Amino acid sequence: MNPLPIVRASLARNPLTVILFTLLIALAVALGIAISVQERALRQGSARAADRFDLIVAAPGSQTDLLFSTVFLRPTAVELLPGQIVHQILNDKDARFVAPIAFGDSHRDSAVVGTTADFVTYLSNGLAEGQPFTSINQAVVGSLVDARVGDTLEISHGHADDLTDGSGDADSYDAGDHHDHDHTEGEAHDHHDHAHEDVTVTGRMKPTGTPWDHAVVVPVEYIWNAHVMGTGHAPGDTHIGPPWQADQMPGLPALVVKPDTIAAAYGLRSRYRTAQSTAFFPAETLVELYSVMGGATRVMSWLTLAAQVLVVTAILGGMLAVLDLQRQRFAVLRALGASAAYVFASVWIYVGTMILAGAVLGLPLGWAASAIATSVISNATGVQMTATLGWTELRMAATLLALGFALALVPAFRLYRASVVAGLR
Amino acid sequence: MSAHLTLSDLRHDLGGEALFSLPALDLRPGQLTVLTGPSGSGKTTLLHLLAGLMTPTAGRVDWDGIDLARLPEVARDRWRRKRAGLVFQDFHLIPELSPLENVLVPAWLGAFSASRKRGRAQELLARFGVPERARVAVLSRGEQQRVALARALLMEPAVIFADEPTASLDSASGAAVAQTLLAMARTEGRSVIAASHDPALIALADRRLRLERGKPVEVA
Repeated sequence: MNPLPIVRASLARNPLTVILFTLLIALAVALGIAISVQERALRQGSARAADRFDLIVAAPGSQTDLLFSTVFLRPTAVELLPGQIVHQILNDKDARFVAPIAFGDSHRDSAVVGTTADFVTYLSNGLAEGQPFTSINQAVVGSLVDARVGDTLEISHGHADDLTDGSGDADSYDAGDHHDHDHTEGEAHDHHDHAHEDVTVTGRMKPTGTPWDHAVVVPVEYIWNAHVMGTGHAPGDTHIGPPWQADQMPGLPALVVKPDTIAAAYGLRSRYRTAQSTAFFPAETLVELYSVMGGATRVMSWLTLAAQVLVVTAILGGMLAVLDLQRQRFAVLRALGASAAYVFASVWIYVGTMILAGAVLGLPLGWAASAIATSVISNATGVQMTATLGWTELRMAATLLALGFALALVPAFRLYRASVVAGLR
Repeated sequence: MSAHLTLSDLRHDLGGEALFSLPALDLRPGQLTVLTGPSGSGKTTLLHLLAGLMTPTAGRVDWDGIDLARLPEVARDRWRRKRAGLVFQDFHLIPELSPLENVLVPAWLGAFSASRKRGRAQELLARFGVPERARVAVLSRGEQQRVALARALLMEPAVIFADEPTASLDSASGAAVAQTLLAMARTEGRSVIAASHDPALIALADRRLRLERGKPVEVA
């Protein structure tokens, strides 16, 4: 028994319909695949980005906001941690090192972040070229910043996003330091005021696959000074980096702490979860986010699967109509001696071929859609993401395939039961 | 290759009324039998009953001792596949397949290798003067019916059923097809049963059965 030539003939009979149905199935599969691949790429990319941020200590507030502003350099309004607590953390014996993080300014589209030279070196495993900054008006740029060593960069107050819509006073840093700092509304709109001196690029970081690749990193003293908060050192002391003086210590949006041991990490987190500060592991916050995101993704996946089943069902409806046009052909085959099983197999393989082709085409199509989306999101966020097909997507395609094959039994059974004599008329 | 048909007490009802009844009929192999009668007299239905495409309301359709009326559908399919060839008024070829592939269709239906039948298919097409590889749609109607005849003969059936085999053809093509059917019966010893209005085919027949008011009448 060989139903394949009949399947081939049936497929060739309505090529446009076959192509249309196959494409519809492919698009339905691609939608599910793209959502799944995208969710994983986002999860893995964000986890990699937060990898070097062991513990974040900040003023009480939303941990998600703090995570977004510190790790992903997204502009959010955060309070400042008081200077005396900053000084206490900077000198905590359980920390291998502590890096102050200050933000709120920008250079073109790049966020300007204030920290220490040691943290820059730690974050990028050494520099790709040049030297770390050694004075207040120097900067190290991220691997993707369009600037060369030796260039002078103009720093503006506020974030690039804020500058775009002209609302520079939405600056998160200002939101926290309003009590120390007397910008007027007019100054807030002046994107290059006198306090923001130009900086000279001394080095370039290696790629980190994080939004820091798009950042201009300056000494934390630069940010403090630009925001008229001092430098953390005695007046006239021009050195940058630790140690800072307790009585001169300005407030900070966040500190990144590298604990000595796991036990120390939990100790630090517990110690700085007070009324005046909060401490959290970024990984923990990400897991909570993933849980929400994963839940949403699961709902999306079920909705997508439901949509796919609807598409396949609709296609099978169309298929029944198309096959009704071929009823006479199958009746003739029965008259020539084809068993009902032969007709059943021919129709099932005919419909199954379209479903299989759609699923096989949908996999790369979904991956390609996800790769494009990943690239767009990577460019927008700086979080390096990779779109890869995994077992989840293969299982998803296999599930649809199995459902499609099961639904293909309907037209097969319909023609299997069709009257030969009626079909011959 | 021969097949002997015996009908006894055959009755077929349609919509609760008797379409026809045949108390007895005996058709020997090697004969061309033509069923005639006006439209709606039941010629095609009788042909379908004899081919096992449907079962009668009552009676026996006995081919060499095998009563098709009592066989389950699967067994009737198998009987047709092995013992019967069918020819239709509108040929019912598959336009997406070549003439050669169309002839090979019966070989794909059963548990035998189509490749072993390829030679015979080529031989039949050569005998009927039809190219092996062409688009079926570009063949003349006469050629298309000859492809259908070759398809019916591929499995070397003992019985050929032909439903109005010349009705769609011009007179020259119709005459050629009629001669072929006659040769299948007289030369090759097959039982050939055709339903037809065609006087040329009727004239060639060994036996003529006219269906009138539900009763077949043997016509001299």
